[in-house]
Amino acid sequence: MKLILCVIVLLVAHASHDAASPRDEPRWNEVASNDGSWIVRWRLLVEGKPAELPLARKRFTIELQIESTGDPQETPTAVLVDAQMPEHLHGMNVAPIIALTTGAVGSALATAEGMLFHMSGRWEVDVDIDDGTTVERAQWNITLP
Amino acid sequence: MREYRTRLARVMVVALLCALSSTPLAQQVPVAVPSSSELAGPFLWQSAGLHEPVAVAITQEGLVAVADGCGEIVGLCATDGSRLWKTSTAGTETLVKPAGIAALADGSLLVADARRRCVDHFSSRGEWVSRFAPAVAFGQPTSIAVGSLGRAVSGAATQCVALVDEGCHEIILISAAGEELRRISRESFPMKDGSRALPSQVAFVGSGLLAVSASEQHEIFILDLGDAAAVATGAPTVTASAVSSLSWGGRGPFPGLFNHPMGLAGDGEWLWIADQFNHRIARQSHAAATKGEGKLAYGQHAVFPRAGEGAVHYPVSIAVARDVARGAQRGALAVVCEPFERRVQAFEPRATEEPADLRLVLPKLEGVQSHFGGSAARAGKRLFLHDPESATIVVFDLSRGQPIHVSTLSGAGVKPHETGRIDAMVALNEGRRLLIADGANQRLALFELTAPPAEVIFEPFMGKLVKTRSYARLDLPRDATIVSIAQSDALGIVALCCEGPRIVTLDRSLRIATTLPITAPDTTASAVAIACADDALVGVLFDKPAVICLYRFADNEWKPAGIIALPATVNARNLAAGPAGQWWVVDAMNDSIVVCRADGTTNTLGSSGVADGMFWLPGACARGEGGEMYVVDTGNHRGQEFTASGEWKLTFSLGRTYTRPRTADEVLKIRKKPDAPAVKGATQ
Amino acid sequence: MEHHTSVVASLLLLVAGCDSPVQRTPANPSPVHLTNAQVELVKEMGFPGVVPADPTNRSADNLAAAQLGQFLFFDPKLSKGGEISCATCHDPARAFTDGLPLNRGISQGVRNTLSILDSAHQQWFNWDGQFDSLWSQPHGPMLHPREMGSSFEHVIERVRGESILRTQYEQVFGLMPSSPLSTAQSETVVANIGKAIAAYERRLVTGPSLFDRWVERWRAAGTPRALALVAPEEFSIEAQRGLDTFTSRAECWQCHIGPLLSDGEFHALGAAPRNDLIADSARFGAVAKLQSSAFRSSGLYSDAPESEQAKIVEALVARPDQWGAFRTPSLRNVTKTAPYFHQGQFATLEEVLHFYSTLEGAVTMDHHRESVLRKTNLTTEEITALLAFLRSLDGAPPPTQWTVDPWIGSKVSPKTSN
Repeated sequence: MKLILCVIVLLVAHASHDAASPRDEPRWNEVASNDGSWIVRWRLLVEGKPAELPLARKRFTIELQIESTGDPQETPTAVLVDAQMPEHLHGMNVAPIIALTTGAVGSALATAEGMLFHMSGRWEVDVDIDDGTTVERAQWNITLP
Repeated sequence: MREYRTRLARVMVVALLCALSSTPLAQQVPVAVPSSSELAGPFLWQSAGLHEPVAVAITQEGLVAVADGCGEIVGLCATDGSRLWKTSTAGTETLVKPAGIAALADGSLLVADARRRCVDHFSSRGEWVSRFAPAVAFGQPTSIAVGSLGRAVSGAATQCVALVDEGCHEIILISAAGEELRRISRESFPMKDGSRALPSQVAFVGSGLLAVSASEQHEIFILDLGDAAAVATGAPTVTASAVSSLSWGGRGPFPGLFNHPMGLAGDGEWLWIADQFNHRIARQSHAAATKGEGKLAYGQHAVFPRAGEGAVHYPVSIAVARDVARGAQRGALAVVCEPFERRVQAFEPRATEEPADLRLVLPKLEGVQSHFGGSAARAGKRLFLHDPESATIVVFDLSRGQPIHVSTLSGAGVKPHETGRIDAMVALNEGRRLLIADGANQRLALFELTAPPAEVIFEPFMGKLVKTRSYARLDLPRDATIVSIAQSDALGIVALCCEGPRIVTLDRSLRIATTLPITAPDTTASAVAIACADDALVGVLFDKPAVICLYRFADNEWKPAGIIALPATVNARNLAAGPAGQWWVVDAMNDSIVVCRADGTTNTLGSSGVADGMFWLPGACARGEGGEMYVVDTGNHRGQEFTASGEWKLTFSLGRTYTRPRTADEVLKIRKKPDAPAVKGATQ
Repeated sequence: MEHHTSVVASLLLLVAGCDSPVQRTPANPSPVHLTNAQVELVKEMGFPGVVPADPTNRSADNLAAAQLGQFLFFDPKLSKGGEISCATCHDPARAFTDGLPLNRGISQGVRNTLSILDSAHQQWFNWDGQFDSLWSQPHGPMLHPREMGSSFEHVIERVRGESILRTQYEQVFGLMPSSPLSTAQSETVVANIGKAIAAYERRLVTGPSLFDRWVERWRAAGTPRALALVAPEEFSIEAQRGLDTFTSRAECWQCHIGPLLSDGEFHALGAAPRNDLIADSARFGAVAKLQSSAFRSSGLYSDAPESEQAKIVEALVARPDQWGAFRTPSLRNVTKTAPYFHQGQFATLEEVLHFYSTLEGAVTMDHHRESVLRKTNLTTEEITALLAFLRSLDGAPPPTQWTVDPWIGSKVSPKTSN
């Protein structure tokens, strides 16, 4: 069932950006949370359009599709999105605005608007998913040239 | 001699620590040791040999009263610091843990006892007078201050007692007659991120203004208590309506920033701050500070040398008084408590005008200096030690005898990866994961190390935060504190919550498996540590009096399994289970490890000092895979390894210890984790 | 393709043999080869071109506003006492700096004067980024008691009372409101004065440097990794080596990146404050000041309060690790802007490089915390090469018409008027 749902989500996502932009538009990326409780699909929007990378010192948005892998499935009740530069011991200079929309049981959509990478280098994006009892992190790196 | 050489070689191996600095010794920048003129003012005297001086008060008649956390109050002469009297009883009771002291206008003293949960009134000669405010219910009274409420209804200033209750994280205002006026909850201490700070210490600054330190959040708050009537009937108003001007601080060494600010003292428009982990005294204009101005600091990082007069080391309390009798003359006096030095120091406080030569002495860039604190955890071949000053976790690879990972956890903050006060930690999954009890944020946080590195790496935030779970979601009482965590194959994760107290076992998803309410052996006893033996046997260490209570989990239920009483002089801090049924108890104040064997006999390892095998305020211990004992020698800024039978094996640290400064070849060169691959774009 | 280019380059170098100027340099006989990562970095450098638009200032590219701004820039009567103008510290003859460690207006200041050449390319202004637009920045020195020591009332009265200024002001911004001015009217006039000065400062851009011209040729040659493939002309082999070191071992590029050779952001470099000064909170304190300023990009007097910059300003957060963090200055014309660092701690570029190489005297943000900075232990040859590279970044000065004092030769001299 989960697999079918996953395929449907991916097909819908694929169809939607096929309609909106050329075929080489960046796809959704997928990452498992750090204890495997969630699958997080994400993509970047720069000036409202899907993009492979953000632009330095320009605000961008991260779109998230979050799905529980648990049994029973938990539903996110809150999501935090943040980013930091581990090598530089600091994070972003701005606070993004996060919106969460819960969908069917075990899934949610979220956007983090106003993300801004002010320096080149490795950024670690952290998505903290709260199911009402624990907060579990999903993370990935974006290297800004 | 040969054995000595072997030991020396082992120490060198540990100290060489993979990558050696090529910096010549001549280029090593020493830690700046300020002269007394750069501190609060000219040094006057010090009074050493105290046990645990945690709070100080000064009377106009020339008495310096010190609360000693080991169960005494001590009266010192303001002229030269000589001892006038010592008191360890309060009427028919014994003082257990004096945590706060303040002088009333008539020169008598109020002493808050955190364990007896009361405040006692003493004369200026140290004689017990009465129980103060007996009708007020205290949880865990600590810091106490006496000041003026400002405009009373009658127009005259009203003397008021303010007291921090760390049991419920409130400030209690009490009239001089002992009547409770009101309680100020943590809601009055909002942080910019929406969280609430926890009050640590208080001081009156001027009429009706109360300064409050929030050490875990590295902030100072100023509350305007208004007039007496308002205090009695309504919420105190703050000096400014905007939250941003309500408080100031943040973690850091620069003026206006703090690293665990503790003690406060009011001095006219000035506020003196014992900035504990910055090892300095700051003096600031509280009126200007709330406007972002006038943030000045004296003293800096006076960690070396230990005996240096005028250098402050972990200051926790300060008192300042003008016009104090000092011999034939009267003058100003500032006294600072340094429990790690077991002393108080007195200074001539500067005049309120800024000296022309004021300048900031900043620490020299010297790399990580880990000052290990009260937590240690071992799993597999990895030993985790904790440096509370920088919120750093250092991971040692015991098979290689060297550190492999240094990770600065962020300071105060509410983001999931930001760790405040580390109360306890336990290593899991053969040392790949570390579970931390974060007392400041009241949550458990589970981190995961990345793959074992080939060389030492510096990596903030432990590589990966896996998950967090707040205490509230563990069905623990509000304001609960998890003071210790252990782990065993039979029981999983075992946490000790000092409220109750209770033992809670958790599964790897941090869900509660079992809960065992336990009974303290005495009303003043406090649960301080838990350890697991190999056979589902758990030991819970209580202090005041020091006792190990044993429990065994069998047939799906907990059963008491005995009690081991420790000598009355033991000041129990931490516990580990030895390999042959013995229990190792860290006796912090006596600088030793008490070994309790299965046959009921005990013996003591170590004594006060800086040599190998000696301790200075040891904070924690852990058992190695082969039965070795690792001791966190906090006051000496190092760790030590012993055999199971107590023979010293080696001493290790990242930077300097009190044994000796490391040579250039021994200075650890931390390497950062290599950057992500040069491929642009996203990588996981 | 890139691989192919590098193979060809290698062959060419072998064939070219000892006639190459690279081969003739006895101390460093090997030619310069960049890595792919370095190529990517250098591609981002080069001439910045046309200054970006500033939607928060409707008059940014208005010629009349720039002319008014030039009069204002050189007008000492705007200051308390009538002696200090913008040009006092931003001297056109010194690349719009004053050559002093610490600025000196009415009295000695606490920071080094930054050049305003090419400042229209910046996102943040002043060492601490207390200002987010070129037009709000002049208000700082105007009001600062150690700089011009003026007041908004005095500035408005000066513009109202001096016919040259008033005529030009009204030509650009409409009628000057009559006294008494409401707070909003005063602030509007002051904002307009700032916008005129900004319009002027946007003209103060430098022309391509030797390095820029070389980058152009290098790009035209397909950005080869072997730099000998591009005729060095005045961008010497020594400077090429400096570029190599700059983008590799010395790690200068970590902050000095992009066309301005600056990331425009804020970093604590550990340079100890001068002995007679209290340390400066820098970016940590500046964020709160910026967000409370009426003249911020998102404020009432901005012409685009919904602009990208405005949104960034509103979302800024101040973190303790920004304490002591100062803006990375541009390296364009760097040889003309000594002394260096926020308190002029270093008199020469050699001293700057020595500091980065050894971190001698550096202080740290936290005495127990690992620092991002590390000693690079540069060799004498590397320092020499870096200096050669830095010298190649000097661009042609702005057009003379914008660097002269317009009051000289005008009917009214600011020294005598009013």
